[in-house]
Amino acid sequence: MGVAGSAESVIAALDGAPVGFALVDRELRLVHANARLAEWVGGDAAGRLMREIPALAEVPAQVAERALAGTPILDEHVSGRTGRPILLNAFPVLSDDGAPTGVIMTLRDMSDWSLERAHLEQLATIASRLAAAATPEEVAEITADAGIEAIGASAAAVLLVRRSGTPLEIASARGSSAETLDEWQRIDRDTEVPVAQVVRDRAPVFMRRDDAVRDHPAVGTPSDRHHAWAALPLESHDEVRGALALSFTDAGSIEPSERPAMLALAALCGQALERASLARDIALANDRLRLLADASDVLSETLDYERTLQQLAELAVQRLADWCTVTIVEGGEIVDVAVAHADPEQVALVRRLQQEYPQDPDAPNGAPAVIRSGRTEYIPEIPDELLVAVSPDERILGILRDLGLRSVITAPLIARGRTLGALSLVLAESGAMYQPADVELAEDLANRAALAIDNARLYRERSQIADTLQASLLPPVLPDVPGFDVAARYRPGGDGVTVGGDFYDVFPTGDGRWLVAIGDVCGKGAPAATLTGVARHTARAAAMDDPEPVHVLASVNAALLRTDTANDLRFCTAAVGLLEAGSPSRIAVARAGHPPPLLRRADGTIEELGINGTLLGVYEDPELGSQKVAIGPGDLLLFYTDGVTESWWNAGGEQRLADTLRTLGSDVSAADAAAQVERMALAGAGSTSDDLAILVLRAL
Amino acid sequence: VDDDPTRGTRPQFQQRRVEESVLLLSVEGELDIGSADALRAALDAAERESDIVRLDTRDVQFLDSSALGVLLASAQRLAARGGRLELTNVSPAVRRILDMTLIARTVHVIP
Repeated sequence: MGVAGSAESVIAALDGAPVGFALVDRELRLVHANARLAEWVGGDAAGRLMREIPALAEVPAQVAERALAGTPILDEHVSGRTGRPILLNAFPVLSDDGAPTGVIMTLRDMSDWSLERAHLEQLATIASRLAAAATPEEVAEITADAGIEAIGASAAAVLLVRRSGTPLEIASARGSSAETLDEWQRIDRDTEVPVAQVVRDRAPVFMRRDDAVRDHPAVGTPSDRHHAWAALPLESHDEVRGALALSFTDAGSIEPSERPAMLALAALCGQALERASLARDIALANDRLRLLADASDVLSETLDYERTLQQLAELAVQRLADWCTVTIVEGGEIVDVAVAHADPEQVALVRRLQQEYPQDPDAPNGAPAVIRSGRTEYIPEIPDELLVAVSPDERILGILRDLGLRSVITAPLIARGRTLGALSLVLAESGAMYQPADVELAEDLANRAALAIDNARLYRERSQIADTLQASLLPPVLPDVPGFDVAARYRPGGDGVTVGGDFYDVFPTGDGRWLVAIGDVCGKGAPAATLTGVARHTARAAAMDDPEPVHVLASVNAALLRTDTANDLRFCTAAVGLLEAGSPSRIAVARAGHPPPLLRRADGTIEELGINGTLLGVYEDPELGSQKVAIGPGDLLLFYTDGVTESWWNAGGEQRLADTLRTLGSDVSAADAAAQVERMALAGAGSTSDDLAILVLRAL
Repeated sequence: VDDDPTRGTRPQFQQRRVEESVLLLSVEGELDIGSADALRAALDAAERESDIVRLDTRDVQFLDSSALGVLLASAQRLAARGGRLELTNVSPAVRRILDMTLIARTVHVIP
């Protein structure tokens, strides 16, 4: 085959090629166009000037002229008036004497480039998948998949910076061996490896095998499988959030023409990470609110704050910390009341250490310092020097180092302006560090804990005060009444912190007789206690003057009317008996709105004593009367308040009380009788929220 | 606190005018320390409407000292302005308490 034949066959081949092929002369007149170009320009255009052919008018004259001047044009992107992208190659055709006689051109319509379009479509798909990703982990998964499927890498990994200051961690990987993943799971950012470098420099690294060996010895010998690598920073406008690592079997995969797709993927991923991390911040904020709500629930469950503080510490360890301790000041001492960690053995170890080494109240750091200053201590990253400073000896230092304490927030427990203790949150083995936003959360938790402690302490104090006050309203010891066995039971109702309104008293009148009194002041708390005090003391004073029951009750009535009470009506019911020992003994009973005292005869019959009289503290002219009965040996007198029968109101409380008295043996002691009556009252089906007082006298 | 005494029975009150000058207040439920606040509120409202308030205690089995205090206070306020508090349809148990306290001086029991 000759040379000319050879040239013919080239032209023939070009005629059938899927690119446009043109031969133009010096005037840029089309001499020959292949089938593809003819189709493109819409018919045979031979003989026309290029600029007159609309499809070719895209090619700027100066490009063709440059070729005509002798400069080959290689892979030049041109786009003319219609915006159609064209990839142009143009070579001068020279005469035998070297003068240019024309230009040979190939034109490729890039808008028709289906491969390019496929790439763009893939990127669009990836973008929409990334837009739907809710968490950084999902973003990482989608990006790693795309690295394989869209970019054509044989291995892809997404490494994320979880929190500022923490190492890069692999969040998702494809195509790598388990050993490789193990080795590169966490990468410190100052390491001389490409993924760390791109995070530091915010610029991508592309390298072939030679570059890798030369520039990154820290990576070690690259696997035989791969011949090119790319590491790209994953950034949004404000920060670098990680790196994308891609490994290729073909060294050509990192040619400049291949890079835009990788950069686009990295950019999409960076933006998606920012969005996901914002979404995560919002979710985190919700979690924090939920944690605070849960903490409040735990703290309000009971007034036993030592127990609730431990529950609070455990809650914190589940959501917020590796360690949590609560320290409070109790009786001037600094006491660690709660310690929590996921591992009970660790807790036991720390508990032992706390016993061996009590808190030094003058310590310059930690809970004692926070308790002294009332200010939060926030150490985002605990330096080893601090561990050395706080350790009393080498052993403790060793233990503290082993615990791997990394980050700590100690917030004061402040209630009503007083610092009650401190709450410490510590991050250790999880490797994370507290951020400034965590400080606020810790302080919120501490405030709630402080409030719970304060409430519980107030409750205890009030409860003690109530007990003391109540005791002042009752005789400390019942006197020995000659010829009688005497016993009493008293039970305050309600919540235990409110002073009840019931009272009873037994005292000698100075003339050999005895006054027995029982009463019930309407209401509770301090106002009721005031009236109870007035009633009891007035009864005593009045009895010295004249122990007749009607006189005693009338005196109490007058005293109560004189006592200024708040707008609510306060009154008192009472029953008073004047007891005269002898053969037989006698008792005169007067009642003011009070249930009748019961007399159980030795033969089992029951009598109600006294006659109805007006309530005390209501009327200026009370209606009162007394009734006197004789008492024989074995007879039993019961004075009580309506708390005894009240709980049985729907089942005939007074009937039940009478039955209870009847079942008692004739030789029952006063104490046993009182206890039986109390049992009956407490067994009532209703609430036992009312006070109850029981006074029993048995004639010997 | 679990045994909060105010968490007792929750009585229902219904108010309706029966005669030109009488407001009838029907109570359903018990009158005790747990319902004293509700009774006080119902009586306060009734006192604003009428000088004569008639409390129908048909369904009331029991009256404790707290409820008694509320009734007395209301009765005294009404009496001070020439009105009165009446109880009607009084059960034997309530009757016994009224008798025991001689409260009929202020709180008028009508058949």
